[in-house]
Amino acid sequence: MKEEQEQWLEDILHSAQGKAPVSPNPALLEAIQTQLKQEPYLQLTKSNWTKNWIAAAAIVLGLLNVFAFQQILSNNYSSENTSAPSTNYESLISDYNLYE
Amino acid sequence: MHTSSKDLLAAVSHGDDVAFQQLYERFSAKVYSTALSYAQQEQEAEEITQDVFVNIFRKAHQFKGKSAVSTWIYRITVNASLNHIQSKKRRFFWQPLEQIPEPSNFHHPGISLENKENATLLYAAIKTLPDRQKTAFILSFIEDLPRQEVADIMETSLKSIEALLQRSKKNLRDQLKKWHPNRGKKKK
Repeated sequence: MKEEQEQWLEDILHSAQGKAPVSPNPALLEAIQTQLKQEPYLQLTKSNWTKNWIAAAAIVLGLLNVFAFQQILSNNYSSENTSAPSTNYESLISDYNLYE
Repeated sequence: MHTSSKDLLAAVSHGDDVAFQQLYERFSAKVYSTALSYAQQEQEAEEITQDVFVNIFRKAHQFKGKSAVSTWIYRITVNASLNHIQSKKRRFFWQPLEQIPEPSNFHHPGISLENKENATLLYAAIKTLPDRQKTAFILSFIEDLPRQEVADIMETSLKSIEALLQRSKKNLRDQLKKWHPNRGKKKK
């Protein structure tokens, strides 16, 4: 009795195997193409614009960083130049210490 | 000339309409058949098929070629089908009981007459399975895909697919016995 129930269950579990292939309504492709023509191009264009703006902003920021870095380097260089003669001033001052 | 699915998808990513049509002709029956197993209604299966191909067109540029194109398309189909079922459940959650349609006895158009009654019971039982068991069972036993491809589609191991299939079969058997406790038993 149990064997027969098992067979019945097995028959059900395998009842969909070997089914014939099915296809959607032939008009579906046209419906999809219509939907694609109606909206996604706008979204794609919008997303490209966003990407372009992000890229442009990144380039501007990069250039600003390079410019700022160059400024810092040149400032350091010029401050080194001005600090160099300070020893000469010290010696000059010490030369005028007449009462030491 | 036979163009590979990867080449077709690459052309689709550049907006090629002819390539899109060829890809549709190659995969629409598989997508529709899988969607039909989930939705169990022809009109809803067509809606899912439409969603899938719109997504294929939109996301073609995201395909990295790490898997087969068919695996990628099946993955989109499974996700679209599960999302469709979820949104349908949410829609009906807010409706009064009398407006919720009765679960119909689904007759798959591709199933032979001799298997029709059994298959209707099978599809009704499939509806009660949890999502991952449902997917493993549909892809393996309804769509007849190789286990490795099912594992690739579900992004899991072969071992866990086997475990999911065992659990799904057990749950289906239990459900069928619950619905028809005396079926398949000899009458005294």
